[in-house]
Amino acid sequence: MTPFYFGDSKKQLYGVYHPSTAHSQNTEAVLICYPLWREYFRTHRAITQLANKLADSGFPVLRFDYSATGDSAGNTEECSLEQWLQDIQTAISELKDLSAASKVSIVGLRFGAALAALISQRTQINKLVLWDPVVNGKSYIQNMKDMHNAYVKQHLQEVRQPVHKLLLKDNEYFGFKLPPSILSSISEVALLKTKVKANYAYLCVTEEKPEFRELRAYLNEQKIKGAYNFVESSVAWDSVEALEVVHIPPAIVQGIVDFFKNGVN
Amino acid sequence: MEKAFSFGQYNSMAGILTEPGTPGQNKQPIVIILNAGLVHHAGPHRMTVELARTIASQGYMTFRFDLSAIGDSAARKSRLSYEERAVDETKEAMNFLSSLYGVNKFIIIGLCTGADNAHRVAVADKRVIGCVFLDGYAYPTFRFYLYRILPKAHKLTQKIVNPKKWIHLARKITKRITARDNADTSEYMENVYWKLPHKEQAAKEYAELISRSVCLYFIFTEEQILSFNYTNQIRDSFKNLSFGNLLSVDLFALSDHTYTFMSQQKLLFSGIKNWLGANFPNKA
Repeated sequence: MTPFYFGDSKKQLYGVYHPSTAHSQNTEAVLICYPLWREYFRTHRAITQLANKLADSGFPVLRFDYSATGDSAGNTEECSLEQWLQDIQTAISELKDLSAASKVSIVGLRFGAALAALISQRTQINKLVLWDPVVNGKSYIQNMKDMHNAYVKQHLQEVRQPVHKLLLKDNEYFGFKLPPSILSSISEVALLKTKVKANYAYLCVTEEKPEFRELRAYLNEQKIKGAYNFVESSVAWDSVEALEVVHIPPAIVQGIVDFFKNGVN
Repeated sequence: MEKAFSFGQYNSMAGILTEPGTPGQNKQPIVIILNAGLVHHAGPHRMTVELARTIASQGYMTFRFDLSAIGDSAARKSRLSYEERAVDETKEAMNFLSSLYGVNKFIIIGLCTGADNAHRVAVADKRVIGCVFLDGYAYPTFRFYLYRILPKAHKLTQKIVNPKKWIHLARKITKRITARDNADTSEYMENVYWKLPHKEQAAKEYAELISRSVCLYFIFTEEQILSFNYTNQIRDSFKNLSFGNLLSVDLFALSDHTYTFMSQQKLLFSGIKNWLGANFPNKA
């Protein structure tokens, strides 16, 4: 794997390219869209493993940090949904240049899956993998706020401090100061109202939720050939107790690799 | 401006260099930030990125990288222990930076196991001239137990006219439970954190660092209350050592271990900036 910066030199994006390590390279390259903030750190290892496995199976892979996240340029307070979508387009171009692949597919995890669905309206995507996708942005933001407040209270109990004004700040979530604009942009995202365009879709989830069943039905309605995989796991995205858990569900990772290798039956 | 590098044996390690906004003094030491446990080089809550950029804006070149099998660095086949590999690989990072920039002086920053590794690297390599340990090693002292047993004692001692009499009384009480507490603390340190080196070994290593004039900055969070609870604890733990101005210590009473809260991150960044400025002034 090769770490590098790409894109506009004033807004450089950090990415890691995994060239195919198989004897023959596939004509399809894979872009991985990370989740955001706290979830990014929980899943970084799983995504790196997925990228390695895909590369071992002949698929060149690029994973990258959106502007103002991870190692890419920009302060967290500059996060912008539109900028992230432009970043994904830049990353797709970069991946095509690096790999000379004719087709690009996207694997998106959590809000990365929502971004992947949104970008499919602008750019041709072959396969779209939605891994525990954020289906409803409003619920996602509300849950993030609730978890942060629960964590603050839990922490203050541990350090035997009264509720402290220094720790309870607006727009501060798990070590990130987020601009109100990004919170409202994310809140407006609703996958069940988003026209998804892709040749194939693969929905893989670690919880059985009504919203995932609805999304599955919605993808079927849009006549996208697809597959669905449920792998029971303790990943617990909505649990404050699981915040520190670095979760690697091997069956999910393997399921995605198999989807790329074998396609939709 | 940041640059991504592959370096080290087989070019298998990944690191990012943050260049100073304004060029620093020629041969200014380079600051290296180590992994905090298994968290990759961006650090918990992207804190390492923000810290690197903050430090660089003060004129210090800053490098953050992943040890092998962490983050964007590939795994390596090695018979060495994790601790030995961490030292070797940090030396590889220093060799790489030396070859690029001709700099042979480094300051190492580490959180959690990163602090543990920073200590080992500093002892093992004379190019290290400064270290920041975030929730690093701490050894219990009489006052530590006192404050632990009587949470209000710290405030009280500040008000008592003759603290010696009060401490004499407290010593009698604490003697009875010190042994039990000692066992609790050791178990905590071994199971939750890392294996704390024997105090004698640590004393020997600190003496070596002092003889080399390595500046040491310890910052503890309130979450480490089971191992550290007052700022003079390190000096009290090693009374035979003359740290002098080489030692700086801070205790951030509201912070959790990974600085989740922005106000505490700001305190941390400002503490490190001030420490760097005081001990390694940028003469550009």
